[in-house]
Amino acid sequence: MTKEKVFCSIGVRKTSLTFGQRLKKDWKRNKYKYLIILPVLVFLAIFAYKPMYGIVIAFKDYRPSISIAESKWVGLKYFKQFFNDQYCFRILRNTFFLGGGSLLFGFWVPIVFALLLNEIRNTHFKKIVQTTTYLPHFISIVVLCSMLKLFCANEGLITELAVALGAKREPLLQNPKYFRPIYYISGIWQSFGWDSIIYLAALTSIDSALYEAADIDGAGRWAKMWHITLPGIKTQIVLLLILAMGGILGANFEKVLNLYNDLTMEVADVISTYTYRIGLQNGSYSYGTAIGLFNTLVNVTFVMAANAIGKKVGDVGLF
Amino acid sequence: MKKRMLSLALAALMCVSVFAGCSSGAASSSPASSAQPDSASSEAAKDELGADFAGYPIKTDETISLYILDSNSCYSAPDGVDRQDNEWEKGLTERLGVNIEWQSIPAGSDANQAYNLMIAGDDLPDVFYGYGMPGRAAQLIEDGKAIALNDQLATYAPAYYNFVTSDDSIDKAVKDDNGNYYGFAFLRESLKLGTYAGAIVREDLLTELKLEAPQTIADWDNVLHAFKNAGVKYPLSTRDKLRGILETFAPGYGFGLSADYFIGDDGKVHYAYAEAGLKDLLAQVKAWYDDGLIDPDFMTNDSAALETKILNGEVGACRTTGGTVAGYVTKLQAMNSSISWVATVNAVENAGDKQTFIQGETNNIGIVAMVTTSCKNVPLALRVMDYGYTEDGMIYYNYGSEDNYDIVDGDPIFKDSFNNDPRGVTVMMRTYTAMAGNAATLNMLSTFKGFTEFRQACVNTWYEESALKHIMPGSITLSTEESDSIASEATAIGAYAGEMVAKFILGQESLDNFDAYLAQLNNLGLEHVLEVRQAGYERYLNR
Repeated sequence: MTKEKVFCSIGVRKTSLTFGQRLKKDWKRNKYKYLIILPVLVFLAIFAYKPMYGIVIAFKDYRPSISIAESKWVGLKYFKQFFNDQYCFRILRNTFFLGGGSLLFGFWVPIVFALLLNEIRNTHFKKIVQTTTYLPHFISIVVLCSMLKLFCANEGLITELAVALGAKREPLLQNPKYFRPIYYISGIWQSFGWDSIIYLAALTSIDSALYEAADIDGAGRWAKMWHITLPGIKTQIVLLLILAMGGILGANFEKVLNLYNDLTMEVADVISTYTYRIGLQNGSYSYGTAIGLFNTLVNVTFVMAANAIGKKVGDVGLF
Repeated sequence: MKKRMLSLALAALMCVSVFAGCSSGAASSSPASSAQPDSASSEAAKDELGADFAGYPIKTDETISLYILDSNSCYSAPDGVDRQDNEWEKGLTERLGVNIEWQSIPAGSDANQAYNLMIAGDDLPDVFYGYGMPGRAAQLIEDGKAIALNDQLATYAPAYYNFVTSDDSIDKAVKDDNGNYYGFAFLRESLKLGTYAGAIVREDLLTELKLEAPQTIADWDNVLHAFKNAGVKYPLSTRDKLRGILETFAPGYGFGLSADYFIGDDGKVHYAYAEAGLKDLLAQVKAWYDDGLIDPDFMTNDSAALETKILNGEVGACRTTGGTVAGYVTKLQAMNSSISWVATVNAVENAGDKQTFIQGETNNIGIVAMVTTSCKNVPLALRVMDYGYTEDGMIYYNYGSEDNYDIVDGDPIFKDSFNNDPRGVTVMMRTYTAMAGNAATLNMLSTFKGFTEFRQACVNTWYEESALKHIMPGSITLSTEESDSIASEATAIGAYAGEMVAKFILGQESLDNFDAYLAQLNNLGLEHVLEVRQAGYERYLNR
């Protein structure tokens, strides 16, 4: 960002003023806006930035009965321990597959769904479809998982379906082969309706004059979708993609925890469940924090990379 | 009894005078005893709680805060009722004559987390009570968070002190390796009360098929096949995953699986999933699985799923707790079902043999009340906690007020009006007693008589006193360095063993690889883990 751009964004023309002077001037002009944003800043400072101090325990031998400051520094001990951990590769791979797979198979579904819904002219029917597809979003993940366990049991609904389609009868959640598909499909089923809302909202903001003009030019439905609708929601798609990239190493902890068992561990154990078992259940807080910190760093890298690509390719970016 | 109390009081008096000289020295050695100056300054109050103690109620305006580090099983109150407002807790305050501020863990958080938050904070309660204390006690005392009670226990908590010192095995279980008494443990009058789980079999089917309750592996093989042929859908099921399937049969192969670690006949600590007998056990269980004798959902069943199968008559045998099976039986009776259950022993070598390995617990399973360094009036806190071990207090903890029980043959027994109250026994126990789960008291053997006849019969079958020697004592302590050094190894070993054993049973991994499995356990550091645990066990024996 150039200097001018920064200054313009806070509304000061002269470039020779210091930050303090600019802030003072802007304060005079936009006092109430600052007051409105103040609670949010305080909230962030207390609940998002202050706790970050706790990250230092990743570099210390922390015990709850002595304070963080008193704990001994151990440097990168826990990071080394993680990379030497026999499960290190496995949980990284699983996290990547579960997160990446959800993105790959799931990201475009709400977009396509929104586009299709947009083509429906019968409002009554449209509303029914919309409401029905939102509903799964409101099922708590624990309930969803017990439903899945029941349906995928030896004589469960989904198992019967699979058997009818020629699969071997077995509890599906005890076979490592099926864990990922079950995870992806149930995830898509639960979220595509809800996720389509933002696209539907974006679709309404497209100028209808564009469609009229296209009609006159003789464009069909397909051409209109390709040349007007999709470019119209491009910004939203890229923004959501960037945000979703941050979750690529953030597989759904509750869902994995509730669905996995000894037999599917091999494909299901992810960084967050491992951190949970090591850090919280075993009380190795420092080790758990180190793994979590590593995970976060990878996520941040992904977001930055996606943002850079977005800016380069389509001039859309978060920051 | 009177005479004993008198001599006790005298002994206590002597202790006080002896310890008075050295207590300042002991206090200065540990920064923990911030409470010392307070109690010393109020000399008069000290006497009244010590040698001149006139009995309960104490009548004081002071408040003792008691943090219960568990949501459900410690000092249980009915769901949705705050301990502060519960009948039993109100009655306790009256009987003690001391205000108690009951603190509970935040809803939805787990006990471990709550404990760590409490310890990491500055504002400690006077006393806290919860699980897993033996492993923490020595470090807490060293870090100046909790106090060792050695000097004061005999004076201010004579009932507890007398009880634990009367029996060497109990005394050992409530001290740490340094010889410190660190708190008031939940104890049982008889270890029989610690056996509450075992195998159950369909009695009606056994009768119909003219079979006996299975005792040996061969019996089990016979019975499970017979059940299958008689049309039972799941001859063997469980809701406890691997352990639920394996625990009953492991003793038939010379080892115990009720916990990951056990004490072998050689006096050494063993890891159950690394026993040589495991291979034959797995081969047998795999054969049963392949024959369709084991519920295919055994890794994913939860208690609701298992209960449905049991009430539908689809299960032939399983492993469960006395309370749970008593619940099944009640429900089956209400349905006028012909299904009945009977308990059977863990597998033995020859029918009629004594069981070698059972589910059981040793003295002090680790649930302990500890006094913190924030406590301003330690003598009062000790008197409050000691009440649960006095004769009156013990009955109040186990049975509640006099309205609840009659004395029959010298033992209290709940009145019918208590047992048949429309609120149900569980709610009644939680409302009017502290024994729906556990509390800092002695669980009286007489409570056993309060169980249904069926449940008593189950426990009588499952319990075998001579098998208790194999159980890893619950109050072994490892130093912080020791537990740190084995923490990640033990987790990796447990995870690997669980995965492999499951795969062996389902045939996803061939049993030919069993030796490679054992080798991998050693690669993961099993030897080191056993060494550290062995050292802890030996320190325990030498206490």
